[in-house]
Amino acid sequence: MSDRRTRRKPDPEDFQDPLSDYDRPGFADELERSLSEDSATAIESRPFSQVPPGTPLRDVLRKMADEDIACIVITENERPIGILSERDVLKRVAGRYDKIADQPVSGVMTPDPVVLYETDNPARALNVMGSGLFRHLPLVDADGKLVGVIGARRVTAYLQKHFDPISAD
Amino acid sequence: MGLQENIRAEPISDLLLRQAVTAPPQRPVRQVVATMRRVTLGAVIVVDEQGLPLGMFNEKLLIRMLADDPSALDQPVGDHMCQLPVTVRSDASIAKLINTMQAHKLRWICVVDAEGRPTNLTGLRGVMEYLIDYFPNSVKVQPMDEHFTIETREGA
Repeated sequence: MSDRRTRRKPDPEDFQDPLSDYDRPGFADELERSLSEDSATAIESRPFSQVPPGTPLRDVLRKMADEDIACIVITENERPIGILSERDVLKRVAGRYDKIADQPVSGVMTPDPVVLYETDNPARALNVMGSGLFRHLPLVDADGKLVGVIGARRVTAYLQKHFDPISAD
Repeated sequence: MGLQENIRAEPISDLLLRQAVTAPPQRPVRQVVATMRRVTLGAVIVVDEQGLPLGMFNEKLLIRMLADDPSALDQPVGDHMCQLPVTVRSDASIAKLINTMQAHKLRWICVVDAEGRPTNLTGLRGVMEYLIDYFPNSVKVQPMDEHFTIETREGA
């Protein structure tokens, strides 16, 4: 008992590095490393389009057609509050467009979209999108402000960038 | 085998494919759209009497139509389809599919049988989901929803 309470000068030989048995995560290849360690900005997310919630549906579809985009983000103070994708148009708009063309887009958008932060890794983007529930993800900065949109084409392009050049023969 | 070798070796038929939905060119767009909505599919292949593909109608064309002239919904789909720049056979490699889709900027691609008749549709999503499955340890462990925050401190 008394021995343990006696203080003595530490011997460097006694010191054990608490991280000495820490194994750094190993990655099979560059793509696997990038998925875990890069930030979501490694996936291209621009250009993208946004409109305020009061925009008439007619104008939103015009914008989607003119800019040839599959989804548009509805923002308030630059923060995403909803999203309207091609699939939303097919499901909720096409059957009754005559009646709702002049109504605000907020009535048919998918509200409160799951967002991806710039500080998330690409793997999270893939998991959310691969779940089959979401086709597009708004990318936001630390303040929650919209900085980009990620979709299947951009994710595929990101994955492809990390393959060796693919020969299809 | 790793991902690189597999996507060159594995055929498109290994992907999750959707059954192709076809329509004759004289069918009104409105009916085609109703079918797309019912089966939750973003594209329909327009075929001739022999069942050979003439073109495709998809969500992108629908949005363009609603923006330009919604009354065109009652016109024949054959007047509003787009050309199929390319089709693939189900025994082609997944690598070839990825290259073709990116090169032509396609969202959907029509898979045809030996006679050239549409059998399935596949898209970027199918490819993406196939690729994701190669990284279960990196990808499937990620949180689905926003960042988790712990409300109360754990322990003492």
